[in-house]
Amino acid sequence: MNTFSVNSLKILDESVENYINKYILKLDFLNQNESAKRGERLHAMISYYLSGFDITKIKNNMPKIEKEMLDRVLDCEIFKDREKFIKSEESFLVKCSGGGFDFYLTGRFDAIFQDGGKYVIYDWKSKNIPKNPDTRLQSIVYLYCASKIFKTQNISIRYISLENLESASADFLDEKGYFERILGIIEKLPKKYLT
Amino acid sequence: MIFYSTINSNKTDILVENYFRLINSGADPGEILVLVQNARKKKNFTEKIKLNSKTGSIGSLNVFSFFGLARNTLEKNWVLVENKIKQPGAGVFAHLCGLEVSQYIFKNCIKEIEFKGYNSKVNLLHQLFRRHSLIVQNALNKTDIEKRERVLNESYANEAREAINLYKLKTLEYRAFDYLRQVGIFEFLYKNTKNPYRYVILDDADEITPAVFEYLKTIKNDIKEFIIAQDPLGSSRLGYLSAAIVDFENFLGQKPVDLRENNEKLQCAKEVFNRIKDKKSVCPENTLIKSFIRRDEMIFDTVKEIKTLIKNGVKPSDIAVVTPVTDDYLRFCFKKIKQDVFFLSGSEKLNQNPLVATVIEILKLANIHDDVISPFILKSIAAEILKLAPDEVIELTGLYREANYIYKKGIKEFLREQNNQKIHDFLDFIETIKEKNLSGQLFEICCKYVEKSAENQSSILKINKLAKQINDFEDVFKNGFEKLNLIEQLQNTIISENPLSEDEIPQSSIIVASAQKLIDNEINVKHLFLLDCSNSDWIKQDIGMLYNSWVFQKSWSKSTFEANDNLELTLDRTARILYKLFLCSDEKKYIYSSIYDTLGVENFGAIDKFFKLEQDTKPSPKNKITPRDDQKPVLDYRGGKMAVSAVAGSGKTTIMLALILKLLEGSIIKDLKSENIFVLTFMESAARNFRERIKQNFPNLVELPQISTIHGLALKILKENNNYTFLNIDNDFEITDEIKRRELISTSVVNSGLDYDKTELYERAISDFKNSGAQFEKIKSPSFKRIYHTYNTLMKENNFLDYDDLLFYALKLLKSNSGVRLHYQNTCRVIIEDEAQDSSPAQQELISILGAKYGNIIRCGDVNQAITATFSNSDVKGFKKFIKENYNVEMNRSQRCGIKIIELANKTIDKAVKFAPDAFLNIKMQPVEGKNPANSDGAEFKLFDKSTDEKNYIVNEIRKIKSNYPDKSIALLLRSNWQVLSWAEFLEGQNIKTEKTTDTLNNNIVFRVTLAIFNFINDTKNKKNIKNSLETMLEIEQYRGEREILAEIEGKDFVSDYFSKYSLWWDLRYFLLKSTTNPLELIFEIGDYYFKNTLEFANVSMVYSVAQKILKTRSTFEELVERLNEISNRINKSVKFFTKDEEKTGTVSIMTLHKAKGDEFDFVFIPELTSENMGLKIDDIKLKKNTEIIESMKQNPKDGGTLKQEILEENYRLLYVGITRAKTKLVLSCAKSYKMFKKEKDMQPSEIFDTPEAK
Repeated sequence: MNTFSVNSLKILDESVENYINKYILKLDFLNQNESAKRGERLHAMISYYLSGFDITKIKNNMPKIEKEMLDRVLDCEIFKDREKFIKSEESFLVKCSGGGFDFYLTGRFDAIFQDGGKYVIYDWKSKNIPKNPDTRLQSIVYLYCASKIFKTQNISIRYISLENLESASADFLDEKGYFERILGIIEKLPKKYLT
Repeated sequence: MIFYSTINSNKTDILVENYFRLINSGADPGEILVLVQNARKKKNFTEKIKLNSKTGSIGSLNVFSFFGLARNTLEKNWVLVENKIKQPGAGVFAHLCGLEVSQYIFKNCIKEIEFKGYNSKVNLLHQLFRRHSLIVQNALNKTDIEKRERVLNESYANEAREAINLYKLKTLEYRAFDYLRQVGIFEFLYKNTKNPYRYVILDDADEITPAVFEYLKTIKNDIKEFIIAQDPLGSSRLGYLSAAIVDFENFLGQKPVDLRENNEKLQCAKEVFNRIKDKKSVCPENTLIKSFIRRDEMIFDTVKEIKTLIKNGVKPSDIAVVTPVTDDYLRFCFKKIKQDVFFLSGSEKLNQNPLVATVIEILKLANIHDDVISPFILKSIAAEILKLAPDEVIELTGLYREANYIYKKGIKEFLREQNNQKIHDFLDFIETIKEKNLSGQLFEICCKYVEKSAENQSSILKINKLAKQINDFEDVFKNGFEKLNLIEQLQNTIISENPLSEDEIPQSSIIVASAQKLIDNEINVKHLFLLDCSNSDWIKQDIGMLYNSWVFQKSWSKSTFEANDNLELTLDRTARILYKLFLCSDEKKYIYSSIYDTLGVENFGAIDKFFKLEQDTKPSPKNKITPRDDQKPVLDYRGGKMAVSAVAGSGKTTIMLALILKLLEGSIIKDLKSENIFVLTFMESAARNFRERIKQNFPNLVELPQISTIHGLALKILKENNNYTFLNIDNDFEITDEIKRRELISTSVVNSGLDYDKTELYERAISDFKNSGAQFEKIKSPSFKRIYHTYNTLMKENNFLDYDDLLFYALKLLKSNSGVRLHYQNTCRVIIEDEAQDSSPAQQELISILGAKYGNIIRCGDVNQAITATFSNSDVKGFKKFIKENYNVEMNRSQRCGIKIIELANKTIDKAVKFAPDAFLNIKMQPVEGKNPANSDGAEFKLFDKSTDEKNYIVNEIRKIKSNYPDKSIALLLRSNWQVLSWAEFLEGQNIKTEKTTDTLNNNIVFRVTLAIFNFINDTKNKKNIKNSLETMLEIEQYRGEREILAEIEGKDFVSDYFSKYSLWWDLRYFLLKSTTNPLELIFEIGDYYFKNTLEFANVSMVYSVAQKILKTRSTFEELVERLNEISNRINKSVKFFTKDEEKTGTVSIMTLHKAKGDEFDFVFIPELTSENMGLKIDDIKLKKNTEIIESMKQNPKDGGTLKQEILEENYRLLYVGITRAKTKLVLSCAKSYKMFKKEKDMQPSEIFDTPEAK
């Protein structure tokens, strides 16, 4: 069954051919770039920290710049109130139905906190935060899925730049609009690829 | 809940139903652990959950393969592990790397540990890795391991322990964990973290490993419910793959629910299981059992059958082929099916894919300063990457060859000089990526030059595998490796099967897989072909020097390990594998086997014996043989020892065959099976002849008697059931052929400060010494001692055995291991030896041991034809003694030769009385009344003044015979190999077609043509080279009318299109352009184009194997071609080309007298019978210097007089052999002078010309 992530939807939205090459024919070249690796390391360290592991040894062995970034992030207000923390690095799979076919949306929340009745999904950005968080595809998919998972619409997504700690948020607004946007992208895919 | 289920019981669906039952009853998905055997099943299970789930979130799925569970646990809890590691270098992640990285680490660890006296350095890594794997998967602790070391009485236990410990430490240092290390750490983690699961769903419980079961035992008390699917007859992964047979009923205290449908399919599979366990054969329903002589016949029949099935509407995906030998030969032949064929297993190197190979070459180019590269690499880059036109490619390569060879120009400098924008862009590009790391370079090359098209899909998949490996290395070692070294290493790695991520199986392809792969992937088809069922690889014997898959099982409890344990346990696993395979087919099974493997070596010890057609139980031969009176006693044999003393042409082979057939019928010895009959021949060709004739008589006979040369038998004894491990020999031992052996000896000779030309001397001396069984210390000659020592060291380092070692070790094994000895003594109920006069003392000892229990020993030969004693270890005295002491059947009637020839043969025996009284036993040939050739031309002696007269006479005679008797066979028998070559050249020059019978590779047309094309490709500018190649190509029928091409190439460039009027030019050009492909694949292309009949095509794989062996140590096309040329004219008996048993008419057979033994021809010429070539008086015999030296190195050397006498005696017998080859006419000739080194030299005719007949 078709399963879409934010990335694959983005590529499908931009170019059906690229999507088919990358996700169906697997015609893509493996590549790793150093800045992505840095992001992964910081994501992992935050998650370790949130899960209660003692990260001192690893942190002390990190490159100075990364260690400083991590220290800065972990000094943020949000990490001080551990009671609000729910989960980190949480994968999700949400089954949807529309346009005459079923499909799954998948992804991973960097961290989930609960503040009062509200679920806040945190997303760490290696560099800059999005300029328009409300219309960002990631916000749409994450908020839509989170609403299905937590069975509430009292949700927001918060982007935090690991580089400069800037942040931007988007609240859950429009379930129908979200779904139409997602379905609109998926429907670009020729029918024969929709299994 | 325990379900007894098979792959046909919809068990996954039932487990998925239970998953939702748990969810619906309130379980959190995070509390349910689903365990399946492998990544593909994980995907399948997950898909089913996704399909059956209702809209909305399905929470976090915890579906893991057995290995994936360990990986996931490590990933989640990495910080715990990192905080425990003492070595510096903490990392945010563990490097969850592939096996390439861990093998690299392990390899370096081994360098630090000295394995004193270990036989093979080649295999050490592999063996240690397997040991490590067994320890991990069986969750063995220190005490468990020590216990097993004692059971096996291991001599390398300490070293192995040290190496594995060091390896484990190193992996910690690097934070590099392959899937086995992940499993190793898993135990620490689950014992030190909170178990998050409350429910366990376990699929494939019969294939669970002890390591995973230990985990389940630990968490058992936390688990509210276990839901387990198990096949009680499953556990196909027993042994090295470490499946454990777990009693879940006992574990859970619950009775299983049997979900298995009691249908015919299950009954059939169960019957197969039970019969195999009882060591009995079975004839399952809907099964076609076929046995072929050659493997190519089997494969071609399979291809034909599959084509027919598809034509009749069967979908490709309903067909699967299972074989343990997915080699290139099979791959190539399966291309002919013209359907998508997906190879689920089989080793393939990364650089076997042309696009990947070219990308790798560009990577290398980016990392060299300016070096010389092979013109073929340039050709690949120009054609595959830069997409230059074919003519441009040929021109560019030609120019580069010139620039390279003459001016030693580097590739980059050369390319810079070319006036081509594409090339300049390419050079600029190379410069821009230079500073990037390897993975970055690879990515850039792909983005620029590899098209993302569907046809490149599989290449891209492989490129990504390469990228993953490079990433692993960069992650683990940062920049601590040489880029070029790493590329060299990775390009030769076999694309490893990563148990955590397996390739997708296409939905519409025919699947070709190993048995285990088909089972693991639960591939269910309608038509299932089981191929190579006679190949012993079907029954993997997972024991080696440093690993023993049975003793290293968690469940092992015995205090000893015997040969029989291995047999029983292996049989159990085989039964389970075949049981599961039979469940994989819904309609028809095809069980195919062949007597020979692709290389012409006899198969043995596999699963074919378990499958027999009903009518096989009482076979009767197709052609009954009516014996003559003197032959009858042989067929009256009822048991015990019997000698058969048979003169030349007495029908010895026919009557021995009749005896074997009679034994097979079961009328002589009760309950005698094929496997109980051992037949030993002197030559491999004779063994093949016996096998093929038996097969023709009993076409349905699946298992043939054990027929082989002595070395073939010795090899079987060593290999069967991994017996070599009892001698501490590594399982990758290789038999050195004559060429390799000579190379090693010459290295030893030169290293000892002697001249290269002494090689031949020491070849013989080493063999003599090994056969004498004497100890090294006893060697008297210091130089021989040095050479012998160096040779042995080289052999051990490479884990080589020579032919003498084979016999020595087989004897040693039989003498020292009672289990193995008893096995063979019980099996060998009758032993028949052919050509017993040539038997060596070691061979005779082996026969005595094998035949000791039943005493049914039949030895057959002719002491008057013993012609190998002076240059081999044969000993005719043993056979003479056997004749004397036992019942002897004398077969002295021969219907082969005309009366006059018989008279001459008998007179030769009489003549020997004067000069060599011990040369013969006085057994005279008698004609068979009315049967011998009537033509009375008989024997003729011809003496000429000059050698040219002799030559002209023979040419004229041959022409006359060919014109008068075109259907008759003609042979020219000579004393030495060089005479054979010289006469062949002379006769060809006279336009007389010859067929040299030599054991050189060049004697085979497939080899010759392949080499001719390779030589042409290798250098298209060299006229002499082209001419030689063309001459060979013109031998091929389709070019017969194009001989003028030879005259026309003088003064013209062959690659220019002037020659386009010749089809040969077009074909050579095609191969020239094709030459960017892997040379091994090119061999198949050439073979497929020129050699359409299956017998010739079967020989293509022999040429392939020769080239493949060379490419192991030489990497470039040029080196390959150079080596092929070097060995083309050397004797090489280990390449067993298939030959047609055709009428020898139309050509003149030329061979040595020795080689002619066993053959017969209507007309025989034996020229150049000088006293030097055929000395028949003691004064004629001159001892060669080497003969004396070799003798002096022996323990009890003979004096010169004795040696001369022995040579004299053998000369008489050799002449006797030559005479008795002729059926109608024999010409013995000699000239009074011969040209030697461009000078005429007077010669004395041999003593045979001094007989009344000659005069």
